[in-house]
Amino acid sequence: MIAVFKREFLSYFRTPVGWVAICLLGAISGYYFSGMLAYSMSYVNLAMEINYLRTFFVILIPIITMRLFSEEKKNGTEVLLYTMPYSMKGVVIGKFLAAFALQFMMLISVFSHMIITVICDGTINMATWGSIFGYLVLAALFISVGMLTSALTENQIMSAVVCFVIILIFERMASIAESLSSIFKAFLKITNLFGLSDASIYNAGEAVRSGISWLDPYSKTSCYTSGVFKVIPIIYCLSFTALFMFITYRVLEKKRWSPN
Amino acid sequence: MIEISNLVKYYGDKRAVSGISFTVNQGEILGFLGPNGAGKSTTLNIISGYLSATSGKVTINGYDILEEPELAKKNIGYLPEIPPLFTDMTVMEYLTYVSELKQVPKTIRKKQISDIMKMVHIGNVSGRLIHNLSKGFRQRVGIAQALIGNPEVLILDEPTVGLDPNQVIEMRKLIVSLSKNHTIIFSSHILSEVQAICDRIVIIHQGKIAADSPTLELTAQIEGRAHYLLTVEASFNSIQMPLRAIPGVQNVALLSERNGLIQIEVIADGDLDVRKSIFYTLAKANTPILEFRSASASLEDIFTSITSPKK
Repeated sequence: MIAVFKREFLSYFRTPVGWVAICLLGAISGYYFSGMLAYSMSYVNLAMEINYLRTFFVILIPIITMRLFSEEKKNGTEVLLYTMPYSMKGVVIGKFLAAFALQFMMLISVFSHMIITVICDGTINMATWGSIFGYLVLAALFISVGMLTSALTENQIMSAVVCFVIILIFERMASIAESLSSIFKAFLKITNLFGLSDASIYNAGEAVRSGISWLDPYSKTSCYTSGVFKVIPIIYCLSFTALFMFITYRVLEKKRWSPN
Repeated sequence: MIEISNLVKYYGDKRAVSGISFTVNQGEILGFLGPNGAGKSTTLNIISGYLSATSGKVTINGYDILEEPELAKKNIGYLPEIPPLFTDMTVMEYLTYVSELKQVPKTIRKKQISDIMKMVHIGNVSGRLIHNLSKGFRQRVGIAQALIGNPEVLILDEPTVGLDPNQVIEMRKLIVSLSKNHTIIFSSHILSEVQAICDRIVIIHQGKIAADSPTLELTAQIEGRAHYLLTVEASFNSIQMPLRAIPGVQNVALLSERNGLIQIEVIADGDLDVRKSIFYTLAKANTPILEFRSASASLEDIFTSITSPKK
């Protein structure tokens, strides 16, 4: 695990990927931070800044995860991983940790803003720490998604696009829930399938909406933004992370035992 | 050492390997010979644990590659057809990474890497990016990678492809020197190469084993037939029958025809020298011989010779 972690993490900086990702997030957060300073001279809300950065997962995560497995497949170096006396679990965890460590390093600009805030007599409240925590938990979830899409194809672009779409779905979960519930309601009303009353149709639609939006990781982790620590969002995100990592592991192992 | 029994591999509907079985004994250099697409790489990939077999079993030192992969793989050093190199790393970084993957104890890691680099002559490029290395050096880095961890078995998939003649000779020397301490499976589609260094040859054709015998026996079998290439000024029809009538000539085939010149191949029994007879026959037919040379048997000839019933 450590060997793979080290190689992957360092390779981010052998190629432009790591530098570009760090600079990109630095530029975005710097823009936001300076905007806060310019427009509200007395008030800087770092939690809001981190919250804003969450919307860029959809671009940044595919960039840092797309090469994890697809590049090895394309270059033929995956042979190494399969023919070494090294467990595939270690490979998956090592690669995940490398991407996560890069994601953590990308927050360097935010940390610098925290230092500036402290120097200028500002305070770092729980909401800021909570936001960083929530940011990282979400990042873990999305990195595992990106890793899975990368393990499924040898084309990096394909991997990035699929990962982009999945993260977009997660991000737009609330509005997707909204539209699916309206479609469901309209369907029940037009077909009159179970002969339900208007009130029951409304309730059924609401159940669909709340069911789907329960899955929304963004709103789930939003409690951290206000400095409130809840356990359920952690369990939610980490169990999904573990699930995606497990599927990645099985996808890779398939080559070793599948008959075709 | 290595036991392969009834290996079958399908790619979708296509059968790439159909029921291969053979054993490699300790300390042996086994030549794995076959034309492109015969199933060589597939078989080697299965032995090394990279691919799964549709059915069949591979054991290395008694460990099943599917059931106990980590124990089995500890005994294997594998150089695939395309060396698995990270071009963004230096040679030293790469070999260190591989020895970490192979869990070589930290205390001997440095020494082992430098010994191996000396052995395959890449010490002077240890600090260079693999991206900037020539094909020959890359191949050697690939071999170095296979040697790390001092595995008992080395599986080398066409290690000489793409190398220039000097490098090929060097590579063969290296393989022979490695055979002192390792069991080696070495694949190639060049007969002479395998003949030069291997103790035993397994020939694979269309996914099946066509021959499995010690190099000397196989060589005797192949050399039982002589091949001659001739360029003559005549029509094929006029000389075909007289040539076939020569005792010992098995076959006469037209290879090409241009500007009234034809190139023909004559296959004859090895124990009868038919060259004089060919000369006199053609002279009698008033046919000038512009070129006359003996050719080495091609792989295809070998397949026909070993698969056709013996006389």
